[in-house]
Parts: sequence; structure tokens; C-alpha cells
Amino acid sequence: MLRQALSELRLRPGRFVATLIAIAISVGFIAAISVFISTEQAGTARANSMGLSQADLAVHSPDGVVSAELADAVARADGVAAAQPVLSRSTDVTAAERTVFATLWADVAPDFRWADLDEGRYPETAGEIAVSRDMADTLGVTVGDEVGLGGGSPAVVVGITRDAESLFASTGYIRPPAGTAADAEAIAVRLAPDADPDAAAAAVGNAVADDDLVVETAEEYRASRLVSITGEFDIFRNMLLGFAGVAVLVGMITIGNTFAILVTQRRRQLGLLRAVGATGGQVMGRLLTESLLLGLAGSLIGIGLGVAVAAVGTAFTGSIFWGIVVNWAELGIAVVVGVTATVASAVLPAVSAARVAPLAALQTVPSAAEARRAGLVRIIVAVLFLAGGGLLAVTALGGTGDLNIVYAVGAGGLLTIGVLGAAPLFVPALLSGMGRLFGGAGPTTRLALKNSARNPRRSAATATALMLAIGLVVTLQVGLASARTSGMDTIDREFPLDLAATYAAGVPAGTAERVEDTPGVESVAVLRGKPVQVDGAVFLAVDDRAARAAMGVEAEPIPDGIARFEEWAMPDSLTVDGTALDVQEGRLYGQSTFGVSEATLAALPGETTDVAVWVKLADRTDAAAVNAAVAALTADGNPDLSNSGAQMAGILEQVIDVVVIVMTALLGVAVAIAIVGVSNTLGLSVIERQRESALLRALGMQRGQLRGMLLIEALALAVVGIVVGVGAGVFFAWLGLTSAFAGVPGGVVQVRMTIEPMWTVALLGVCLAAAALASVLPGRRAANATPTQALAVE
Amino acid sequence: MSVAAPTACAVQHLTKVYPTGGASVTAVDDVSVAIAKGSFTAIMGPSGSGKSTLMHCMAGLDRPTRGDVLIGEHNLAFMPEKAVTKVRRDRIGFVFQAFNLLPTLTAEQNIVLPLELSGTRVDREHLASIVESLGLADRLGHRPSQLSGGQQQRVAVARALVTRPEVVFADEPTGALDRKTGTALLEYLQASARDRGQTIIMVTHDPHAASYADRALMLLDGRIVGDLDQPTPDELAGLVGSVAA
Repeated sequence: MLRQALSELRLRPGRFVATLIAIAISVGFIAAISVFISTEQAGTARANSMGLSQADLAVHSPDGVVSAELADAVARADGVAAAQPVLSRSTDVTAAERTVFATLWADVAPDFRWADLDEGRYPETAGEIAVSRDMADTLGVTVGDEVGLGGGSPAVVVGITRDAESLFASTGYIRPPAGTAADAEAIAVRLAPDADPDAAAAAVGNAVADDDLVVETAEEYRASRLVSITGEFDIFRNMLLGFAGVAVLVGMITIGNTFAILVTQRRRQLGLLRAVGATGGQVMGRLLTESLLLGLAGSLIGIGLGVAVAAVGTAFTGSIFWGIVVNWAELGIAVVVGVTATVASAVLPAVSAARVAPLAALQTVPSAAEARRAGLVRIIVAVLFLAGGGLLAVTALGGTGDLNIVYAVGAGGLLTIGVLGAAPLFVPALLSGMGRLFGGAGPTTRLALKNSARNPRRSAATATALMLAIGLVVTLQVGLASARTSGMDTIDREFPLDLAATYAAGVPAGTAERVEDTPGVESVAVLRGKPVQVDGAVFLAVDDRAARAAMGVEAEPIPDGIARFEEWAMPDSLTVDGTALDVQEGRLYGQSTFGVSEATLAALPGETTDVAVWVKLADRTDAAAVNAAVAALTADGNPDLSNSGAQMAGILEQVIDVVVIVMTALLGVAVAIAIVGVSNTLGLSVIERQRESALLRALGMQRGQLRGMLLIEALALAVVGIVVGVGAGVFFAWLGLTSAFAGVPGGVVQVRMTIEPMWTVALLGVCLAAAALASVLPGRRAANATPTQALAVE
Repeated sequence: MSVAAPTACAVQHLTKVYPTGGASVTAVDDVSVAIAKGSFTAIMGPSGSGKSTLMHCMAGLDRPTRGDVLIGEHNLAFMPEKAVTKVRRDRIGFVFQAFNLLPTLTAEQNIVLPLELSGTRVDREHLASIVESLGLADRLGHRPSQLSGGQQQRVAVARALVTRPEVVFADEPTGALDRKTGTALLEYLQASARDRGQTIIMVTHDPHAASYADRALMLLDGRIVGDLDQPTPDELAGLVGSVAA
């Protein structure tokens, strides 16, 4: 049986290519996730414990913090050559307009350095820094240049090191000012060359004299760090595997459809097998063996593909520096999943193959169309699922409890099964509806739409895969777009000011003008005010009436004798210089600041000066403009910027954009598989319709027209998948968001359904283009049918 | 046959060689023949005699290796593929032995398909007269799977005639029909040639079918070995016997 199956695969490899691709993509996805996460995890653990890479022993505490001063005591212990606290801080490093996020290690003793120098030297004083090549390139700095460390303190670059590149944080080395006490991650210990490790460890234990501290080898320490970050990575891994699950599911639909078509096409061959004495079981076994071999081949290709993709991915994040980590057990599971999915997809077609009667071998005319009526069972089951899903959806929308989202997820699941299960009922109807709509567009279009509807199950299965994939992407896109809009609304409401800089010591001269000249700044308002003493604390009283009007934010005038505070900063009473002011709740003041009318401000003691600058940007999410304006505001002073909405809005915008791109790419794998399915269905249908194509050619259809016909067939299938997928996706996103926020009291977050046209249109454009591409090979094959083939009697 | 009758289609020094592995096979070997307008010609010959290849080349379904193929004023041998396809669509009608119709189209849609492909308006009167003469008026809305074999062949004939072609090529049109249905079809083809002046070329191995033609050509090993005018069944039987011997 194995040999027969092999010969079938060898004889007609073309028919299995699409299936192979679908399996390889699904398994490759899983393999890529496994290798990527393992490598990232190991890389992160190594990067995190980098400070101990040259150490023999590590002294650390279960709570993760030890006193840096302990290093001196440890260094004096017997057998210890040197000890150094492992100190690092995460901060941003800026040079001119560019900023990177960096982990800065305290460099104390040369013995513990792990990175070679590319040029220059390690820092020797507090104002010096050595940076990795990666950071130097990103910042565009070289030895001798000055960079700003988070918070503004400057440092001169004195060296460039060869360190692992990292997507998340670059590496740098500084020398902390002498005598600064700090909490270290651990104490790194190097032993004397002739020291006995156990004895030395005991000596170190005695030296620290603290039972809470752990002394272990650096190797043990690294292993424990790896375990400690496993939980965080597992979340990623599971989320990614969820996406892989979707890809496998879509792959299974595609594979099952392929086998169903192959069984239809091989009816005569299978009938012949039965006629010469094969049992139904043997026929079925033969098909399942074919699927097993196919699954195995596809899975192995997928493993290779996945490892390659993971290598590219980890090269991008920089973790490949620490070496690729392959978890063979997980890859083995991926192969098992691929093979199982393939064989499982082939079961139903194999069962129907076993039912092929020996007589089928004698039928000369292949059945033109399997216009089988959808079973009553299908209708009933689909209706039950839809009704159940609908009921749950209503519950989710009507309720106010925490369980709403659970109901909504359940409703989504049931409705999805219902819609996909009912696909054979409505897909042909949609296709013939399109046929009626576009039938007037000419014979090519009419023929194409009739063709696409001729095998209801086949087109339904093809469109189902696409519906599922597109539905999920759209759900996600709409969900995230709506979350962003809602979040933006909240930020706009809570932080209507793009940038608000409050200067305790008064606005430095020229600041307002400089900000006004910054590109991307629409308008600038300067607030007048004066610092006042209240119970020993300094408050800032401001008159912001004109500024509010200029910025276009709520501007209810403050009556004389009233002081307005933020709700959370409101004192019970306020007495300034013996004058009592009535306290009211207001907004946009921030910490230690209150608003008063012009007259009240004038009556307060002290001199009125410029105290704050408010900035309105043309686009508050434009990161470049925000950075430039902040730079202008902070050039000569150190203002409080906490009331600014632009930075927050910009971060939200960027984060959501990245999340959407990543998620779309991940689910895009499922869309890709579904498109492979479209190509596969068309390709196999074309093989089946070889004589028909030849007849059309004989009757005078041009090659181009035939190719056009296949193109329209592909587009018709894609359009059905897209219409249903987008409809379902928008509905599920709405259901999810509405029910998730229905339970939130007070309407803190108002849900606004948003469809980001760019994302969705791009997705649909790619789908249609891919579907068009999917028709190219089948179209060529159909067009190359010579007219004489129509006359040949098979 | 009158020498003065205008020619509907002709081949001159037509040769078709198929490369098969090492040795090439000459299916048609330097054949020249002219078909008169309005005639009903049968091309006969045993299997492998080249009769189908000759017809394929004459009808622009296949390319000759050498020689000329004339349909009306067109020489198919010198035309690009697209133009040949156009000639097939507009100037030639086909009736094949089986699988003549597209399963997704109704009988009427199948009949007018060549017109639709060329974007030509359907001449309703002409269509009605063809459909009427073939007795298909009440079958137009049916799909091929709902028609009998004879009805399917008649739909194919209607499709071949609807474009008012220069020549109708029929390849074993009765091969898949029972004798009674086949005879009716042959009588219809004969009448089309006689009464409407429709040129028809039919490939067949069946002397009974060929006896309905005005002229019978006998092919053997790629050459014409017999050319009978107004053949009688006896003459044809003799010719077939001589070839088989």
C-alpha cells in the first residue's frame, strides 16, 4: 500500500503541491514560533545575566536586591580574587534627535568585562560612557561625541564595544560616581586560580554573614534566571501558538478540500481498484497512506522553513548573537500536529472514496457537477449553532456582569461554527447572485461565475477557509482600531492639552519664541502666574483664561476669590498670605498648581511672571513634532510636562499600530494558506475541466478570455470569502467591544466602533491581488489546452 | 461534382508530422483536396489513417507541418493563433462525437455561445428557424444533463449552424447515438447541405453514415486513396473492404 501511495504522489506531484504548501506553512509557523521563542528566551536570560558572564560565583538574594557595599566584604574572603556588584540601570540615551533605550552597566573592575572593545576604552570617570557598536550606529555617535543619559546628564563616549545587538535595549557601560550606595542585582565573584570553589563559596558565605543571601555558581544563577523568565515567555508562546492554531485550522480546511476534489477526480481509478478486488477499507487505507506521506513531507519542509524564519527573526531582534536554541521535542510535536492534521483532513474524503462503486470505473463521462442538495442535517445543525450564538450574543449585550465578555466569546465561537457550517447553503447562492448581477458583463464573466458555483461544496469549502482567516483579521483590526479610538477619546478628554510645560522658576526667556518656531507647532500660549507660599509649601497660582481660549479647551471663567485645583489635588481650604480663597474643582492644573482669575492673581503677594507654556500641535500623534517641541521647551529649563496628552497619544498610536501590524502578519499566514486553497481548488478544477477548456478553445474562445475566466472565478471566490469574513469580523469586534465595556460603570471609556480603512482596504487589496495571482497558473494550464483535446474521447 | 462550383475550403500539399520519441509519425502525407461550397463530404478511413488529423488541420484546430489550409479567403497556415481562433469562432461550426456542450449552460446558452464569444448580436429569426428545424424549441431551457444523447447532438448542430459558418466540421457525429437517432441526424445534415447550401465535412468510419454524403474521401496511411462522387452504400462497402484487405 505504501508503494502504491508513493507512486501516486510521484506520478502526479502537481496535484499535491498546494497541499504540501498548506501543510508546510502551518507547521513552519509552529516551528518558527518554537525556535524563535526558545532563542529569545535563552538570549534574554543570557543578556540579563550578562554581568555575571565572567564570574565564578554569584551572591544574590531571593528578593533580587543585594547591597553593592557587600562586594568589599566578599572580596576579602579566602580564595576570592575579585568581587564586583552587578549594577545596571535602564534608561534612554539621546544624541541630537535620536534616542535609544539602553541598559547601562556599571563598569568597575576589568576582570569582569565580557565585551571586547572595538575602539577607545572603558569609562574611567562618571562623565564617560562606552557604548555598543549597535548603539553608536543608531545614535550616529563616535568616540569623543557627547550623549545625554536619561534625565539629561551628559556623558562623553570614550569607547565602542562589541556586544550583542538587541531590539529592545542597547548596551552601554558607565562608571558610577565613587561612593554612591546602590542596590545591586548580585555580587559577581571571581576566584583565585588555585582556589577550591566549594571552600571559596563557604568562605564567601561566611564573609557576607547573612542567611538570606544565596551563594551559588554563576552557572546555577544563570539557569535560575532562565526559569524565572519562562513564565513571561510562555504568555507570548501561547498567544503565538493560538495564531498558529488558526493557521492549522485553515490549512486543514484547504487540505480536506484538496482530498475531496482528488477523490472526485480519481473516481474511475478508485472504481478500477474496487473492480479488481480492493476492499473499501483498502481504498480508504491507500488514501490515508497518501495523506500520511504528504503530511510528513510537508511537515519536514515546514520545520526547515520555520527554523529559517526564526533565524531571520532572531537576527532582527539580535538574540541570534547568543546562538539559535532548538527545542527538538517541540519541533517533533509540530511534525505530529502537521501529520495528524493532514490525515484527519483526509478522513472524510477517504471514507467517501471507500464508497466508490466498482461500476464507477466503467462510467465514461465524469459527473459534470455534483449538484448535491445540502442535507437537512446541515441546515438543522447550522441553525442550532446560529440560534445558540445569537442567544449568547443577546445575553452578552444585555447583561452588566463581568461574564459579558465570556458570553461574547462563546457567541463568537458558536456563530462562527454556524456560519462556516452553513457555508455550503449560502455560498452557492451568493455566487449565483453574483452571476445574475454581473451576467451581463459578457460570456466570459457569466461562464466564470457559473463555473465557480457548479460545485457548491468545493467552492463553499474554499470560501470557508478564506472567510475564517479574513474574519479573524478583521475582528482584530476593528477591535484594535476601536480600542485606539476609544483610548484616544479618553486621552483627548483627560489631556486636551498637547504639551503643557510648567516652570517652577518661571519660563526661561526665549522659550515661547523657540517653541513657536518649531515645525509642527500650531500655536503657543504663555500663562502668567506667581509662586505663593501655602503652609510652608510652594504653590503656583496661574491665570489661564487667555491660554485656555487660545488652546480651545474648556474655559469657564473663574470668579474672583476662587482657586481651582485638580480634583485629586484639592485641599480642604486655602489661605494665601492671610487671604482665604474658596476652593473649587477644576482641570488641567496638575500638581501644586491652582487657577485663579486675573484680579485674584494680581491681589496675591509676589511678582507676576510667565510660569507655563501650553503648546498646540498640528498633529498630536506626530512623534517628530512632539520630540522637537519638547526639546524646545526643555532647552533652558526643566519643566513639569505631566499634563501633556501628546506624548501619551503618540505612544498609544504607535503601540496600536505595531500591534496591528504584528497581529495582521501573524493571522496573515492563515489568509495566505486560504489563498493557496483558492489556487488549489482552481488548479484541480481546471484539470477536471480540461476537455471543457478545449471545447471552448475549439469554439473560438481566445486564450486570454480563458485566462480571464479563471481570474474571475478566483475573484468570485475571494469576494465571497471577503464579504462574509468582513461582515462577521466587524460584527464580532462590535460584539466583543460592546459587551466588554457594557459592564464598566460610569462610562469611563466610551466605545467608538472604528474601521481603519487603510488596514482593512490593504488587507482586502492584498487578498484580491493574491487571488488574482492564484488564478495565473490554473489559467495558463487551461489556456494551454489544445482544441483537439476536446475531440479526443477519453 | 461540377468543376465550376466555388470552393468553400481546401488544403494544398498538406503534411502533418507528429514527433513521437525517436521516430516521427507522418499522419497526413502531402494531401491536396478542394471542398465545393454547399457540398456534404465524408472523410473515411480506418483508425490511424489520418482522417481526424486531416480534419483538425482543415478546421484550424491543429497546425499543419507543411502546406496550405484555405477557409474561404483565409489561409490558416499563415495566420497567428489568435486569428485562427477568430476564424474558428466566426467561420467554422463544430459537431463532435461527444462532450459537445458546456454542462453549466442551458441548451440555448450553448447554442449562442460562439456568437456571445464574438460579441455578435443573436439573429433571433435565424436562431428560431434552426431550433424549429431541429425540434428543440421546447428544450432550450434545459441543461445538457437533462437532454438525451440525440438532443445533445442536435443542440451541438444548432450551435454549429447559428453563426452561418463557411464550413461545418462533424467528427463522428453519430458515433455515440443509436442507429435511428443517428440516421435522423444524418438526414438533417444532408438536408442542410442540399436545401440551405451549408458546406459540411464529416469524419466517419461508418459506411452507412458516409452514404448520406455527396462525396466520400477514403484515407489510408495519410493519403487519399479513394474519392467517390454520390457514393452508394454498396460502393462504400466495397471501398472500405478494399482498404481493410
